[in-house]
Amino acid sequence: MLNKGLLKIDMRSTSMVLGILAVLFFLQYPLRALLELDWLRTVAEEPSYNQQMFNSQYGYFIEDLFGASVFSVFVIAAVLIIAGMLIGLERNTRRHDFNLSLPFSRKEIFLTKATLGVGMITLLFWLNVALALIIIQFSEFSQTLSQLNVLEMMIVPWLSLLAIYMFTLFMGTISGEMISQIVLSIIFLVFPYGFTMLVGIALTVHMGNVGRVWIGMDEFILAFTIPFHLFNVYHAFDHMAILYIMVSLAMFVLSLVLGTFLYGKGKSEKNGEFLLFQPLQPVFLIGIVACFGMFGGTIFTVFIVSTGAAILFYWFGFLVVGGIAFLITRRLLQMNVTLKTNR
Amino acid sequence: MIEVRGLSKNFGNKAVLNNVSFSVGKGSITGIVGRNGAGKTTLLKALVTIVDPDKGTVTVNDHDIFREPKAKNKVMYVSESVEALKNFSIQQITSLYRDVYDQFDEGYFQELLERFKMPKVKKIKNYSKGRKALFSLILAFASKPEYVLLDEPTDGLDVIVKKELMRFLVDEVSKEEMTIIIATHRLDELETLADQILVMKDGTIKETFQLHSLREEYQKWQVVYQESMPEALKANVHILNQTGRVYSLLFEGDQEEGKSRIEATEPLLYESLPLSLEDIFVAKLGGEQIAE
Repeated sequence: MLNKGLLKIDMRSTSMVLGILAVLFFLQYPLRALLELDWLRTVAEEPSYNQQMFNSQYGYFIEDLFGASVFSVFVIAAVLIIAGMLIGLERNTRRHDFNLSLPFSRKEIFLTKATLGVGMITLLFWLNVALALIIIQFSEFSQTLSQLNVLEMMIVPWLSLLAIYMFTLFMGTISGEMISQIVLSIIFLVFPYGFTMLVGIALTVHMGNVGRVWIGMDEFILAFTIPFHLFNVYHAFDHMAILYIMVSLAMFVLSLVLGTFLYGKGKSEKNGEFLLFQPLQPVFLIGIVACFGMFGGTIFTVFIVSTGAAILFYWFGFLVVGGIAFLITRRLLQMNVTLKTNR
Repeated sequence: MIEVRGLSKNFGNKAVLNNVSFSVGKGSITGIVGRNGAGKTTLLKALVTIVDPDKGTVTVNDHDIFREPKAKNKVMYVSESVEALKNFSIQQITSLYRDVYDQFDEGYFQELLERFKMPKVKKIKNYSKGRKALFSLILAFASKPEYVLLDEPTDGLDVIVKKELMRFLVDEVSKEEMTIIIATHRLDELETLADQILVMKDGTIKETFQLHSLREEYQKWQVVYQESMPEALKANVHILNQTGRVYSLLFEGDQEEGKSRIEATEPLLYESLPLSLEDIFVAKLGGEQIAE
């Protein structure tokens, strides 16, 4: 049973971003529905637009509205910030000590944060989607709703947002403050696609066509890169939506279980540090340096045509960017950010 | 009763708490004194599970707080905790405490706000530092806890607020069967307040004093010698201060024994001085700069 007091503390600290999320969902769904309907009316009524154009607008109306949108980028950012404020920012300030001193277990504290975010994202998402559907239903274009694919257009983005939120909360249980929590979350959320691309390019540079096999598997790898679920509605494979849902659910459950466990294990005296768990530091150092090295190699070979020179430039780029990444990461791992103020 | 058994905590390679054990009964005031970095704050934080000890247990009324966090319902930790709620209004905090602490007495909370003439503010952050400290205490006592843990409660407060705060503490303890543990380096404040003093050094409880028996166990003397104090005496006393041939000495043992030992060294002059907690603290932990 969750405590109302804990919910109030978390609600208060995130109220502003939750408000922004509500506005973003409103802009993304009901407002866009109104504007798109208005545009459809203009196309239907204006003699200067022909029937073919109207059919095209009509045909893609629902897919445009509930498909990929630039608002999704901001929605993802808001979700990351909410999770960051609930754990990372709390660690930066005195709120963490205050919460731990209350008569609740750490499990209860973490589950309250999880429930608040999941509940608010779900409520705001479905409220605005429902509002958009009602607006369309009561318009003269209600027939367009027959094109609605609830699984792909609603369940997939909703579950993706929940998985992103839960994963960011989980990252908060291993990182010591808000910036590292959000940065690490972004890195690991795009990791499956980013890493595969980097490895693919490295193989291509060194062995020619072998690397292209990797790059050809984009669509499949993107399924494991959850933020792309919100942008990738045109699927090359059948039943891709099912795979997306399974990946999101798996990420959600795994993050919830691991996050609950690790929130109880984190040491409050490590708050403000890049990582809470010392043994993870070498793993992250090697991982970050290797990825940035490969990224540097990729950048340096972009403009090289000759294969032999490409390998040389790849390793030059690898050493330069990897070296810079090493210096910065080593510094980051030693930092301690503890704010004296609180939001 | 709060019972601490074998509490140890390392921050990296540094032992911040080292096998700390003590118990505090109901209706008493215990002072934890020690220099900066002695482990006072870490100890208090461990008593409310903010800090996880590497070893040891903390029980509140026989309940292990790490296994049964609900037991913290009877324990209020007051540091700069109200800073965490600085964006809350008084009404929001009241509602929050009502949800968290079953026994929160809203009527008493309002009564205390009026008694201390706390101004009505939109948010807690609008209070001055002194008012915030007082507000923290009001919140803590209105929650009707059995144990209140105070971390440097008077740090940075002016004399008037400090007195107000101390009077409030004594009032509350005398009214209720409440236990207070104060971590501070302000010995002068504890002198009139505490029943028991725990002296911390390098993460361990170095000494435990019962204040009522302190004056029977220690005496302070001022002694003047013809030339200098004999070496034989130096081994058995703590020299608190030396100005030329004038020595301030701290003796362990009873009054008569101290007097006869001084007389045996044939001083020019000697007299007994009033003993302060600071004298014992300086003698036991070393360095005059530690007590203000």
